[in-house]
Amino acid sequence: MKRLIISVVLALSLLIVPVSGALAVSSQDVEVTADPIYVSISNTPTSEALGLVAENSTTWAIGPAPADPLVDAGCTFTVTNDGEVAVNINIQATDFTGGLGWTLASTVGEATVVMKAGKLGDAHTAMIVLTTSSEAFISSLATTSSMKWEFNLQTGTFTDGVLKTNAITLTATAV
Amino acid sequence: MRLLKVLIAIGLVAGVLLIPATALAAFGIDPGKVYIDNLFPGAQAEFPITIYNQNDYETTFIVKAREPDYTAEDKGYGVFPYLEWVTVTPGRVIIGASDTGDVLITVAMPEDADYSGKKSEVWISFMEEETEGMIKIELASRIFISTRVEEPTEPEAPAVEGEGAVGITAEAGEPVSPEAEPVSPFSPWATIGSVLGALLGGGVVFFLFKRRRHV
Repeated sequence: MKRLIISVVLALSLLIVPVSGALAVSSQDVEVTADPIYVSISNTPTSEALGLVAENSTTWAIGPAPADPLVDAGCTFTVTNDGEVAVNINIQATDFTGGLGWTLASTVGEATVVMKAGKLGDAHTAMIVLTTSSEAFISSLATTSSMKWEFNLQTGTFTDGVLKTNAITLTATAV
Repeated sequence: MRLLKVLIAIGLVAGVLLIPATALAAFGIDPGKVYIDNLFPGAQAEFPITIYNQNDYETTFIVKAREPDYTAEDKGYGVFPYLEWVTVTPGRVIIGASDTGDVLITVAMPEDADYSGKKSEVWISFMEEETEGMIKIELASRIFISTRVEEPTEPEAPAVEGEGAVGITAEAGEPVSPEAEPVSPFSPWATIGSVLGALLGGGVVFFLFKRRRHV
């Protein structure tokens, strides 16, 4: 009788081993984990009209050339982190449209302009040359914090006298 | 008196015109980071991202997957090279004033994908479709993808090396089942089989036990 019971227990235990293994199927599944963090930034003002610009000149958004390095009063724009987490902010711009257009570049030329952006505390020489590709601009802007920033436009020679516009995009991502 | 009224009117108009246009928290997104782990060929991951329209007017948002501007290199993540695996539904969302809306993100790894044991990052970009002004805001949710390390399923071609290899060509043999998926020992079929086996085994033992008692 004892032998029989032992045999039954052994047989069942052998059968149960793969069953318990089957319960581990979830470890083979795809796992999706979301960090419930709210990301949001705002910027003010949304536009800046530079007015008439001359050939081979530098025009600042704020007007007269600001102090070097950039100080609070020398910055036109303010970007604020309205989210629940620190954010990195990248910046990029588009070429100018209107008439024959202007192309962004690192040196000025015919219908080619240089656009630079800098944040509070940046030396003028440390300002980022804007391109149509994204570049790191503000690192780890804490939640509810703001950062002032400014841009300038350096012109070369013109091929027409038509109104031109471009856009600057600020991209925010959670740190 | 009339002159004063005119001056006040001019002052008011000038004041309104001089107030800078602002883009106050036009919208937000949540979650800002999503981790997809253990992705494997034939599998897919789905999750929603919520857009919060904080404008006091209906706004249209454009949502799309794109290459990241930077990645968490310090954690071993590179640029996710297969944007075509990522689907955003819908890619254009109209959300009412001060309301929210969801988009569904699907990351589907094709059956024949060769992207085992990788860590990479892709961004989901959110922008307002039409905004006035030259400064645009883009928010991006960072998606971190880790793929499962797959065991090689096909025999590799024999390596031919050394001086004697000149002019010799070698061809790998056909795999027994080239389309076969790697069989997991913990598949649902194994579970069903094990349970049936246990029931059958128990039945046989019970039958033998009863028979022995009768004998």
